[in-house]
Amino acid sequence: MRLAVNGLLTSLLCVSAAIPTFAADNVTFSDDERTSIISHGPWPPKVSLDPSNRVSGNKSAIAFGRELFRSRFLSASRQHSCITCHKPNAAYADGLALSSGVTKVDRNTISLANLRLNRWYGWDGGSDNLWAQSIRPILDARELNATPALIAKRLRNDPPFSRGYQSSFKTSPNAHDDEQVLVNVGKALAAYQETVVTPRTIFDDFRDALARKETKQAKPYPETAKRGLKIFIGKGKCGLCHQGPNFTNGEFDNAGVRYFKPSGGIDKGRFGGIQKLKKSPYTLLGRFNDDPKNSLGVATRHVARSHQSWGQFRVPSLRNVLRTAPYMHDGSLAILKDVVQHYSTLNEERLHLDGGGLLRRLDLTDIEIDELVAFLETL
Amino acid sequence: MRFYVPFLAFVFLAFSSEQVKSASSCDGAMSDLVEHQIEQGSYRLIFQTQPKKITVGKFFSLRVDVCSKDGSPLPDGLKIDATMPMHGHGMNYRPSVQQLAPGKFKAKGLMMHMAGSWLLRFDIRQGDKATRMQTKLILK
Repeated sequence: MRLAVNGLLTSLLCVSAAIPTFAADNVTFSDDERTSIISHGPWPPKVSLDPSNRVSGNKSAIAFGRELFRSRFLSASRQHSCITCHKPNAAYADGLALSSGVTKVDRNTISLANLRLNRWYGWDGGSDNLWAQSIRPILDARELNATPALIAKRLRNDPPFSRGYQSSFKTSPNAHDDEQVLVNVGKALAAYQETVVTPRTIFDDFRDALARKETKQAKPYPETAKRGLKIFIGKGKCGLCHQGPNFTNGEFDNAGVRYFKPSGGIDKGRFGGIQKLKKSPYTLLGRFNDDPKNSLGVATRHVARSHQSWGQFRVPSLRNVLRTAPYMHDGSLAILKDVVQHYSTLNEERLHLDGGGLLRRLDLTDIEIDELVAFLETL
Repeated sequence: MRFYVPFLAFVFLAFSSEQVKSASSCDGAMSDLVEHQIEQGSYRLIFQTQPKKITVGKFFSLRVDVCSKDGSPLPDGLKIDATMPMHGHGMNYRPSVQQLAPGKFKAKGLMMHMAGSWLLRFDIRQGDKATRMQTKLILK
């Protein structure tokens, strides 16, 4: 009898596996759609330590980096810190359209989370590693406006910070030259920022239930969000750029947003980012990379600048996206609905894509816009 | 996100292209790279991706062997590029190509950052003569 029941169960499972759609309440997903949805997980993904940063994952360095991140120690005027723009209670962003340190910056503050998944850092990808990206605002005259000499001098003369450095790098800051001290400050900051990971969401529960073909567990996910998800992976083609568990391909594209800077001139976007990268001493191809195999340097070695790089900006992750308003590189879109409407009514003429181009106006209905927003809010 | 070359989707473009199942040679001159084969004019090109499956957003390398079908001199140069014709863009990276031996090359630094239809292009140079060979790849 038991054998018969097991046989019946096996048959039911086989029949179930052969059904081409997965019904999760009213909204159904085809096998292709299901595969696409499953590709956005699992979350959190397994990440390795950063081989270019010898204190990646080091507890002392994480604690030291956390103190540096919160302190005004890194600002020349001692009036600003990393959390001036990257506020932990605001998804490590600031809620402003444009960042502001010593003076206003021309770009929106990027939320700091899930950074170990990045290949490039900053809107223009001007850094190929997190420690270099952490050094950039310290030296930027518009942000913290410091110098390697100033940071090194302060660190050597401040007993608590000097001890933090010593316990992280097993060497006194007095034994390192100014630039090495600055780089190590960047590496401690990076070790701390690597620990910021967005939590699982109801989307992740839904995605996992879908992967396991558990209809009951998939049910709590809102119907409106499911319809939005269908648009995201379907007619919206959002998943072409916003792919994988972190909802980004980590690369760059032209989203049809203005590239005239509020302060005047043109924001070169990725074109300028590659220029900066090639000039920087703090890349994975430079002497400060701690990875003897340089296993991550392939991207920097082969990155190509072309006329299409003009006006391209990094495709941001959509994880936690509800909390990272305003949006786009210039913070010009205030709320998520504005972003969806932007793509729905996109002015294709402004893209200048030589007749090709990935983006097309979506012409979504008001209901579809609300559904897509409802989906994004679950990330 | 897996790369696949379904038998029917390995499209014939403006040249003869076919997937081979066993070691192939121009009169026994070719290596054991049996992944993909393209023929155009005097040349037959075989390439193998490393790793074997191309994943969207992951770097990969190519081993490329070119042989001559009619006794023409072997190529002395090779450029490799890939584009997404439907989207009007290419890769964001420029592969580096190293010649290992006459007709044998290794390319590094290829990365396809989007799922969909890609055109992988090989520009073979022999003296002043250039020959373009290309094939379609579908990334899922």
